[in-house]
Amino acid sequence: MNEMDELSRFRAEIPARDTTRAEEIFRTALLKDLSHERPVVSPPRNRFRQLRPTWRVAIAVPLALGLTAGVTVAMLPGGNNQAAAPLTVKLTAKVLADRAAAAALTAPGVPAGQWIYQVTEHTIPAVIHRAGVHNPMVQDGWMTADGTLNYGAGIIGDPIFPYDKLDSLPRDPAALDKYFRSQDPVKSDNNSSVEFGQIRSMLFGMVLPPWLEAEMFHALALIPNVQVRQNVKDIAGRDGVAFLLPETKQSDQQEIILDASDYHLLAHGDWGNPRDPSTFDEDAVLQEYPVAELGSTQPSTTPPSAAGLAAERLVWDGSNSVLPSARYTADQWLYRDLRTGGNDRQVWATVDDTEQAQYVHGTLQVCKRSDPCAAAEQWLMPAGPSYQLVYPGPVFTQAELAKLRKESLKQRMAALQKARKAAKAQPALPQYPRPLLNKLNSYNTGCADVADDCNAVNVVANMLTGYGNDPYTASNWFLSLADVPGVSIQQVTDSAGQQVTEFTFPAQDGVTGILASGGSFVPSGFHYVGYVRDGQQTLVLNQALVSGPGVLPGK
Amino acid sequence: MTYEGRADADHDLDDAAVIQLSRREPEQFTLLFRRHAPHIQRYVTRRLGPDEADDIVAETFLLAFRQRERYDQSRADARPWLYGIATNLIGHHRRAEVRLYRALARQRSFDMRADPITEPFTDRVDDRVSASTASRRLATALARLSAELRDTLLLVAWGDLSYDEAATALGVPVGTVRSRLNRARSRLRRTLGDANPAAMHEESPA
Repeated sequence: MNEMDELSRFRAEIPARDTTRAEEIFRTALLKDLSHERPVVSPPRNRFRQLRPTWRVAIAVPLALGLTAGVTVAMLPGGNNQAAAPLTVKLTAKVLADRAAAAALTAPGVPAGQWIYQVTEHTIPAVIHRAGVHNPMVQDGWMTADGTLNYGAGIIGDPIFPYDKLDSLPRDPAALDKYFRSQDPVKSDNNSSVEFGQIRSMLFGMVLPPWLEAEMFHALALIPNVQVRQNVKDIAGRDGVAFLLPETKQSDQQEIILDASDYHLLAHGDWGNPRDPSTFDEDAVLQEYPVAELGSTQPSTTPPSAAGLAAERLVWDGSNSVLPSARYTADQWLYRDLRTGGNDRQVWATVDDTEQAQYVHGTLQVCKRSDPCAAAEQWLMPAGPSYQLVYPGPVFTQAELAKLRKESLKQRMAALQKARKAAKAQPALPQYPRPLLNKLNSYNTGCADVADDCNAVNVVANMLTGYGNDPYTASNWFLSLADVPGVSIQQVTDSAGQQVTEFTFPAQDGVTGILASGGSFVPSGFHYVGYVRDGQQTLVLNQALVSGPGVLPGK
Repeated sequence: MTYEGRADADHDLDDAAVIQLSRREPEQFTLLFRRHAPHIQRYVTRRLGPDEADDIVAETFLLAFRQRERYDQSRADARPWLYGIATNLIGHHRRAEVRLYRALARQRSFDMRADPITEPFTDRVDDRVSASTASRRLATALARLSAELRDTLLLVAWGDLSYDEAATALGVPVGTVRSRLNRARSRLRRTLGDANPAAMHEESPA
């Protein structure tokens, strides 16, 4: 799929809506307009025209009706980050850059793959604001320091430059500026805005090595027209000092705010109109520090383990399918060919594994969980959370949806919010690796050795083998597996001859290994391969949706 | 020639004829509205959300109405003209548009908040995955494009205009549309690929 296909699918769910309201606005304005137009000779003929007041001659038709918010601009004095406090020492851009660079150089570097926890505060677009969300909004999230993965919400994780090429950037501020300027050769009255914007994105969207962060500040100070504004406050109310690039006709005012006392990065923002606070857009970093794993808020400089890094790579592959594929529904049938040792087992199962089928002596035997045969059936998913718990289904029935589609936007939003609230109240599996592992460990899979998360490992193997999974969800389970005490990883050749990654667990019984392929940063490259039990691999050689039990793929 | 009885006989007149007619009979302009407003409204909604779209669509047709005397009668299809006006009006909301892309770009996987623009039209509330990766990255890419590249790209991708029609809409030569599209597409490709830390960069620093 190319970028144009992706673009045409982006927000494609927006339908061609009812234009009644737009037409009302249009007609009202048209009527007003017509009342100022010069008379025409043809007589009035329909209802529309009879509504018209007397025709008058108007030489100039006023063009700006101010129908849309952007046309009329409120002129308000000052921005919200201008303070009246008198300056004591006048900082130049160069002096501020020197101080900020010196501060940056004292910070420790962070290894690639390290999880970073970040709390940020944002001004938010009016559309969301109107929907009742508090403005500014505080969000938190986790990201890996190399920008590959992110969870929750934050502003790191938007690398505009490949992390593994950072070393190739020049260690010379003027050359850096030149490079950034070359990144956006759009004709503009203000090339400084391109450089400033690129440096903003690098400083706030990425975790830079200290030397590069320091060079960035020097490069900022060299940008033509860059100013320093002292005694500013960021949206969180913290005292700061800002690099500021004034607006021009074609570019917005931009700011990078540093802490007034130790010069670390606080916030960045821009203004559509420096005199109109409603056009102000700022992201402030309230907290940012390394943690040991996704989901943890405890500061820790423990670098990620080999298993953790391998899991991160699998998740990258699993989450980067071009667009999320249509999800399975619980009652669809999946065909699987499972190979254990030299024996193949062909089995059909519903996506939620509540019904299975296989041939016994040439006869297809179908078994439901509620049937007497269930006790003897070798279920793909013998123990663990229900499919519903793992994959909560749609909250609206088809009938509800059809009804909802006929309602107004406001009613739809209200229904959606209500449903969302209800969905939140539903039981769900924990999101992050350690709590999920603890929860999965509470299922009884017959392990004697609970301390090593043996039950959780068995449950993950069950879910991977027995459910219809989406690659994103499934790959994320490997972050939990990487958290099992004593886990190790190795590259092995599976019994079908493929190079795969094996997560090996110390437990003495149950599943001792889980195999996956991927981890090479190939979108959609993640595949669950199989598991190891009693020293023997069981591989899922083929898995495909089919129309019903006994039907082979492609038939 | 008489237009008697033609007031609602919308189908046998092309846009140019409707506009011509509306010079004498202003109310005929509403035919043009009914014909094109739904598509233009969808285009504007995709860029700015449903709240702004109603106003912008209304204003598009109002401005078009005021300029109807100047309409080039050789153009049977008024879509490029109307999309051009709508795109100019969207330009007044450039900041809001970019902020919406950025807000989406900030949404991470595992997050229940979806794209504020598509939210009212979403049928599932558990779309934790669909608001992530691909959409986020497209939003990031769109936020980074200059206004002229974004306008050109979206007129073609979302307005379904041909290169010639986009050129008419934007009032630029078709060669400019072509080169802007090339640039916009390569930027898009790069941003979509940038998330891959192993991907090679097309350009390297000087």
